[in-house]
Amino acid sequence: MQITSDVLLDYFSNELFIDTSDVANDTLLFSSGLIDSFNMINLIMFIEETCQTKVKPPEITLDNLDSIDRILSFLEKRAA
Amino acid sequence: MAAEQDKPQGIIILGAPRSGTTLLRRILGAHPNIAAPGETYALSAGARFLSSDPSIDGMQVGVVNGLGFLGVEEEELTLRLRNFIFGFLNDYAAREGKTRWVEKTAIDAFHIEGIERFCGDDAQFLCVTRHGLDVVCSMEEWCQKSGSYPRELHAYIRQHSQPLVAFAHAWVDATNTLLDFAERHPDNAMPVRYEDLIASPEDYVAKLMSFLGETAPEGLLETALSDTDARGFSDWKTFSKSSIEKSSVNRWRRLPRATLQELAQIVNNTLERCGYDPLSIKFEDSDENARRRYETGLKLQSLKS
Repeated sequence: MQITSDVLLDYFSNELFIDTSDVANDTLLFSSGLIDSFNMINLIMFIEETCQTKVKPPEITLDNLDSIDRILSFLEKRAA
Repeated sequence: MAAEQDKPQGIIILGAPRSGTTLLRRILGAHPNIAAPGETYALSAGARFLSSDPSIDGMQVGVVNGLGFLGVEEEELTLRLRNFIFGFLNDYAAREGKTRWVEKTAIDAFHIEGIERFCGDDAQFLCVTRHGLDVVCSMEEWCQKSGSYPRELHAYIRQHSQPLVAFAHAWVDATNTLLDFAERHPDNAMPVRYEDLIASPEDYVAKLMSFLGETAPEGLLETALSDTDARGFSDWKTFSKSSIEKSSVNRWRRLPRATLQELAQIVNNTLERCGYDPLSIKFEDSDENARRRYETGLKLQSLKS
């Protein structure tokens, strides 16, 4: 499966039980408190499992993971 | 609805701690006929008074048989105990210029069978249930803030090393006892779901008043929520709020998935019995993944500073 905005929103809603009605692609996820540490870990593991990759500790940054746009951009750059 | 002539003076709210029982007491206390003191602990004390321990030959060693040897029948004992405890509450209601009283003490849910022994059907009971995992989350917060566990939770804490697991078992036991009680007293006990009260307070209060044989005066909720005087032992947090907040529902959804999976096995049957959807959590973790999750968590903490 490829990670897309819809895939992430579905994951937030169905697995993390987050109300996604107000979540846009540039909504801050972790720094805003919308997703807490426990669920951020779950999200990273979900990305790893879906993309068959490992997110390395130096890559765990707000620049890479703090919004849907940033996640998609991070994964795009890694794939390039 | 209870007929006016046989309407009991006492209203007793029962429910696992952190189920919204204080909010309910606050609402009822705004009624012009109902006095609502702080938590008296009188009912659980009465239940403990009647408690006993079995001896090796099956004899129950306690006050019932102790006084029984003096010729005091259990019926007389429980009547005198009821009159003794209800007397304080009747006096309080009279001093407040009201005809009825509502009693609610958080830990009563762990003494239901004892309370039933001496209260019987001489009171009306509101049996409050709330989603078990919201209760568990709130119990954890409550114990952290108070810096202690109530004695009713000690056995659970001793048995389970993880507090959330201990609280989940406590909720299951208290809630099933409560639902059993409500089923045994269909005319005198009304099941109350916290989420239903929160979702539509005006309508729900009308239903409650109908069960209690009272009429809801106009503005009852506004009066209740404007009263910030907690009176005696109470959940001060509830009294600091001037509105009914829906954010108290579904707080459990923020728990880690591994935790949810473990708790689901404990609470699912009881959740269903209460009318909630059981949790369906699929989560598998290897040691390696668990280690990576921990390392990832450490890295995430550094992003917060």
